[in-house]
Amino acid sequence: MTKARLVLLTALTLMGCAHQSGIQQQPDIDNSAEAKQALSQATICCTDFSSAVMQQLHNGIITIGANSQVMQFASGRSAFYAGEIPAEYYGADVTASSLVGQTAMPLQIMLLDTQRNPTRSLGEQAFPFTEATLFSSNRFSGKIRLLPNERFMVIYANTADLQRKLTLPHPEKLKARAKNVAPPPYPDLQIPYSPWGNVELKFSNPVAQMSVMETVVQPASSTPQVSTTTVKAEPAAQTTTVSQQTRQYYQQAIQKAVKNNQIEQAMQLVAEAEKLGFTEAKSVFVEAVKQK
Amino acid sequence: MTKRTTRSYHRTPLALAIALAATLGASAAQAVEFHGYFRTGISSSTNGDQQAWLPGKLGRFGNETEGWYDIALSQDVYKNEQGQSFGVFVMFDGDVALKRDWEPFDSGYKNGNVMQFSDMYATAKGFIPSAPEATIWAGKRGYEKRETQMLDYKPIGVGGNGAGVQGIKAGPGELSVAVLRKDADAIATEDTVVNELFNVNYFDIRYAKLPVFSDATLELIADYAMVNKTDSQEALEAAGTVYEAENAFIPTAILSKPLENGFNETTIQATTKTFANNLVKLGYNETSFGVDNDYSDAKAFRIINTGEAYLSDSVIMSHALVYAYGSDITPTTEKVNAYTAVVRPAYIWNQNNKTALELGWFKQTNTVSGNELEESGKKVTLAHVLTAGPSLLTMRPDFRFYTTYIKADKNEIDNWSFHDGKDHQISFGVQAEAWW
Repeated sequence: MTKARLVLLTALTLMGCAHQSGIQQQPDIDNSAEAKQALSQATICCTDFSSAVMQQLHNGIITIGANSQVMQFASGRSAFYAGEIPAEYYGADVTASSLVGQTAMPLQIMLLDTQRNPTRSLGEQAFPFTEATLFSSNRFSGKIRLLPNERFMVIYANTADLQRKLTLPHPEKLKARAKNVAPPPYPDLQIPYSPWGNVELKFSNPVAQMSVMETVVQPASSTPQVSTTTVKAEPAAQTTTVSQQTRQYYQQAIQKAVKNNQIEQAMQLVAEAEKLGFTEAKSVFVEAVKQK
Repeated sequence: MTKRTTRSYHRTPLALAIALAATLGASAAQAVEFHGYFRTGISSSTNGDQQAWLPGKLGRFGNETEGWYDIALSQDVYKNEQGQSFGVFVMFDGDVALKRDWEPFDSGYKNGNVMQFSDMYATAKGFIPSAPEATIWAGKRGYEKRETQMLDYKPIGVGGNGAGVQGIKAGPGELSVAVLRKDADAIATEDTVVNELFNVNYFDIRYAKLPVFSDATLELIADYAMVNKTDSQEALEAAGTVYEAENAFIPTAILSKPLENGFNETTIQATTKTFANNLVKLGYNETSFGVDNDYSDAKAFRIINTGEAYLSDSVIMSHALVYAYGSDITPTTEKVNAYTAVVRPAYIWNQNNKTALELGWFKQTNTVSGNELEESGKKVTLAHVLTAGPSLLTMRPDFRFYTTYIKADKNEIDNWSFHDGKDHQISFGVQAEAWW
């Protein structure tokens, strides 16, 4: 894409957003049907990330909605938020959470290197459903350890199957649980999936890159109950890919941990790597132990 | 969850390391879950402080003055890929009188301040080869109590120290079996004091989730309370010093039907002997066994229908209807007829605001030694309710700004009166309820 085209496309995208916000009424972010409709009619901003508008990432809540850029991902067309990782958080941990309210956005994240080439693509299974507690709301959430060379983050939705619904307990059932009595037979709430949503980002552990042996606590692996109201489309096969660089990183870290007799750390690295899709991590670990 | 250091693994033998590798995926512990509930607030009346009267008959809405609380902590301490898990559950519950500034727990029940461990039990799931879906449990437990929420009592309220197996898939439903110890203090027949605690064990069998029609389900519950007396206690009974404690059986059927955003539930119970008084007594009740009267000929029956339904998009209606009948509950109480009706329509203004009107009425007639004694009353509560709604909030506070008119039409059973001997009360207050 030439520079002139890129500028034009970006300008058109921004104009499109301005047009939307200026004249038409914004679709409701809490309305799944409106979000799907708006997404289907949205203008594609770009075919790769070189031309995507990058914001500066920070702790807080970002919105994937009517004003977001839209492009085609392996899992389908999606609005996205692209941002540059602040320098102090290179190699740090980031917890990304798609907040569940009237709707539920199945979260996916792609990480890019300095050249804006993807290093990792984290599918929605990396962000399992986590039930609300006193201190946090219902959410799809996962904690990622950034690789030292990762500079950009693309936050988007898995739009392959938005017919799904997230089943949440009725508030009166939660009250019964809090009082330790049998739950009354209220039906569960059915929260529709949506291509739009609010995503909370929390950076932490900025010195993580100083010690590869620091572990990342994996998110709770509870899975949302999912129901389909129509024949379910098969989601795109590609949900998680692992770059060669990531493999090397985990391979070396596991070998180093075993060499230093830090077996539990090594095992946690294996679990982390497997979660990212590096399925041979366990073999690397076993081989490292044998060679010791 | 505590983070272990790596130091203890410095000398991990090779074989152990490989064995550990093979068990990757077995997680040591999940986060501690913290849930809880409380109700609190301020109440008053046009004549002194507000007095609650028979919430189990007239409805609890605008008719509660104390501050109940529950604090629950639980954790799955171990889980593996085979679906096996161990867990622990601990719960404190109790009451605060909400009268004074300084209300320590050790001021005791008479002052309305209590705290106890209602639960401390452990679970093990997946360890019965023929029923891997079942959970073994042991410890102190409020065991799947069934609450009629509007009336604040428990048609099935079995709790105590026990053990059991829960959730065995059996045919179309689920079978659970348990034994719980819930001892009973004996009351002397004469005006004397005895200090006898009778050992009572409840054998509880439940068959749940039995599909009936559409999405309606039936649960059958059988509780048999068996008294395990010492020789000296039998001697006290024979001498007539204490009332005779007889084994008792109470079967219950519960038909539940989920509705759109609501439900309807019918509970039918019939029993004899010691359990019978639970079904027909005036005050708070749950499944309890009293060695406090001669219940040898007692028989009782109770039917409860309760639920909640949307009458339109903006009107929601909750209700609880109870009929109970008893005969020969004690040698002098020959017959009991009890009716209760509580309805609470509410207009929903928006996600956070609704206005509710609760109407409660009851009438109970006890035939005692040939005389008919009547207890009856009515209650009207008007309240504006500010609620969190189905939002992002993690805690669900609910505020009720209420005023209640309550009238004791007849009080021949318990001789109740409000302050200064009045037969009615106009009260008002703000109650907050929260759970998480």
